[in-house]
Amino acid sequence: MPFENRIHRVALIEDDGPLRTLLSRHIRQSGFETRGFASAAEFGAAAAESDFDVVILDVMLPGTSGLDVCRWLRQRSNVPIIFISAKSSHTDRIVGLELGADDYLVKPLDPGELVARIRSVLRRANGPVTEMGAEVGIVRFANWRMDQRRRELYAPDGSRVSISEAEFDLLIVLCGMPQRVVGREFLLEQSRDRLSSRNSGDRSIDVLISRLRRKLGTSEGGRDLIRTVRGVGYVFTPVVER
Amino acid sequence: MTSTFRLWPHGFTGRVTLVLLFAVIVQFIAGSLLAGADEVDIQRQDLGRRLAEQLLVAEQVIKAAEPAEQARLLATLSTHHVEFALVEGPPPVATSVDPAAADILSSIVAWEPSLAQHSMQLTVASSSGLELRRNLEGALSLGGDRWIVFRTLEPIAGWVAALGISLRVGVIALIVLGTAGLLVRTMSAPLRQLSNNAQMIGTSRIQFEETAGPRELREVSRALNTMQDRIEGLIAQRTHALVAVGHDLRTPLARLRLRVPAITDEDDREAAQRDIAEMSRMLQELLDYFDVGESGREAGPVDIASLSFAVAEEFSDLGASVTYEGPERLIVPAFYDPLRRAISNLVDNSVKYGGAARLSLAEHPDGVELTVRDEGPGISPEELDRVRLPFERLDAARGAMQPGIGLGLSIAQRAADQHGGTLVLRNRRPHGLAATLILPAD
Repeated sequence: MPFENRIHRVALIEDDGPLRTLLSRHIRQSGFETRGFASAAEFGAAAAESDFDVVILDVMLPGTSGLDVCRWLRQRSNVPIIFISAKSSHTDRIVGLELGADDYLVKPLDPGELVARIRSVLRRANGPVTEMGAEVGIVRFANWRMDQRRRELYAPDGSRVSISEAEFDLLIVLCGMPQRVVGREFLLEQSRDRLSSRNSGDRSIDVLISRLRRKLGTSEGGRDLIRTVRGVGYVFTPVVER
Repeated sequence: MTSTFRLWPHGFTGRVTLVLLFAVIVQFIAGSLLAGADEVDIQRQDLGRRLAEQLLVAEQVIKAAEPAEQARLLATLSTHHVEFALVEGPPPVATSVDPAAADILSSIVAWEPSLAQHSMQLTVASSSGLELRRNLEGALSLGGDRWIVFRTLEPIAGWVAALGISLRVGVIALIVLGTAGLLVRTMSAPLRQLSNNAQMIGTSRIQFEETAGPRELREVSRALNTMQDRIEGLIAQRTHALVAVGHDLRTPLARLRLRVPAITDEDDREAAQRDIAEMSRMLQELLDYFDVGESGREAGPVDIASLSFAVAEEFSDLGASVTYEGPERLIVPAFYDPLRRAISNLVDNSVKYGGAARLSLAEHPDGVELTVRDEGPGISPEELDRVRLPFERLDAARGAMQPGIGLGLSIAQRAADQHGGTLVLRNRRPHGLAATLILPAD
C-alpha cells in the first residue's frame, strides 16, 4: 500500500509542555515524523510552509481554541484531524466531530490507541474506500444508516442500535467491500490493525460476525445482510451508499 | 390539649371557615335577640292599641246604655280576640308585676289618654301549666264596684314570637356561611397551588407565577423564584469547579500514563498502570455523573434490547458472567448515552458485589422494565435509599473495598430521572440485589 512507503508527518498541538514532549516521543517511536506546537499561533505559522499528514489537536488551548484551529484547517484542507481532550461528554465529542475532525480521544489517552487511531485516519484518508464524500462519514445500506465519525448505527426505522467498537470497525470494513467475498483472515488482520490495544485479540472474527448478525437481525431481513461462504469467509450482500 | 388541636383545622380554608362560622353565629344570636325583642315590643304595642280602642268603645257603650242592657251590650262587643264582661264587686283582677302587663298597660294609656282617669288593672294569666300560652286579663273600673273585665283569647307575644324571626335570620346566616366558604375555597386555590409547586422544588425547576393571584402570593412566588435562582447558581458554581478539576486532572494523568513504560521494575510498572486506570475510572465516573442529565441531545428511539445485550457482551468479554434474557428488539424513546451508562453501571455494580449479573428486559404497564439481578450480599434495607445518593458507598455491608467513588447507582438514578422513569432497588431471597429500571414508553 502506498501510504506505508513514506514517513508521515504528524503535527501535535498541545499546550502542556511535558505532555507534548512525551506524546511526541511516543508517536516518533511509532514511526512518524512529529512536530509539537504549544499554541494555535505557532502551528499556524508552521502550517503555512509545510504539509502535515495528520494533525493532533488539544481542544483546550490558550488563546485560539482547538475547535477554532479545526475550523480554520477544514477551510483549507482535508488533512485528518484527531482531537485529544480532557472533556469526555457526548456533547463535546459531537461538537468536535461536527467541525470535521476525524476522531476524538479522551485524556488520559492510551498511547497505543493514539497510534492506532493515527494509522486508521491515515488509511481512511488514503484508501480507496473513502474516496467519495467520506467527509460526511454517513454510510447507508439496506435502509440502515451508519455514522462513521460518531460511531452510531441506526436501524431502518430510525432507532439507535447498540454496537461495540469492534463490531463497528468490522462493519466499516465490510461496508468497504460490499457484495464481495471477504476472507476471514483479511477481516482478522483489518480489525486487529484498527483496534490495536482495545483488547479484541482473543475474540474471533466468527464471534464478532455472529454478534453483528444478531444486532442487524433485530430488523427484518437484517440477518441475511452478512452471508457465510463456507470455508472462505463472508459476503456483505447489500448495496452500500455513501 | 390534643382535642383543641383537632377542633382547630389544619387547612387554610377550614380555619377561615371556622372563623366565619363563629362570626356568623354571633351575628345570628345578636340579630335574633334584637329583632325578637323588637317584634315582641311591636306586638304588645299593637295589642295595647287595639285594647285601648275597644275599651274606649265599651266605656262609651256602657255610659250610653240602659243599666239593664249594659251587660248584654258589653258581651256583644266581644270579638274573636278579646272577650268582655261586666262585673260588679271588688277588683276581679289582681294587680300584676309582670313586665309584659306593665308594657301593655302603658301602651293602652299612651294610645287613649282618656282611659287614664279610670283605674285599670292588668295581669298575665297562664291558661295552661306551661308558660307558653299566656293570656292577658284586665279590668277597667267604671266607678263604684263596676268593672269591665276583658280577656284576650290569644296568647300575648313572648319569646316564642321571636322564634320565627330567628329562623329567618338563621337561614340567611347559613346562606352567607355557605357562600363565604366557597369563596374562601376559591381564594385559597392559588395558595394550595403554590404549596404543591413548592413541594417540587429541588426535583426540577419550578416557575412560580409572579403576575397573577393576590399580592402576598405574588411576593412569595417571586421570593421562591429568586431562591431557586440562587440555589441553582450555587450548585452550578460548585459543579463547574468539580468538573473543571476533573478535566484538569486528566492532563497530568495522561503524562503519568506516558511515563509509566519507563519504569523498569515490571511489578511496579503494572501496579502503576493499574493505579492510573483506577484514577481514570474514578474521574470518568465523576464526570459521567455530572454529564448525565445535562446531555443536550434530544431523546430518540433506542433499541434497548440491543443495548442490553451489547452491555452484557462487553462485560462478558472482560471475563464476567453476564447474561441477557428478553426480546431481541424493543424500542423506547431514550437518551442513548445516559441510558447506556445506567445499564452499564447497574451491571458493573452487580458484577463487583455479586460476581455475576443477569439482565432481563420485559414490557411493563408504564413502558419497559429492565432488571439486573445478582446473588451478592444485597443491601441492608435501611441503606437501600441511601445507596443512590452520590458518593455513598457501602463497603462494610457489601464486602471488600471496591474501586470507584460511589457514583454508579447515582448515575443510574439520574438517568432514570432524566427519562421520567424510576429505579427500584430491592433485595432478593435468599440473598442478592435486584435493580429495576422502569422507563416510560412515551
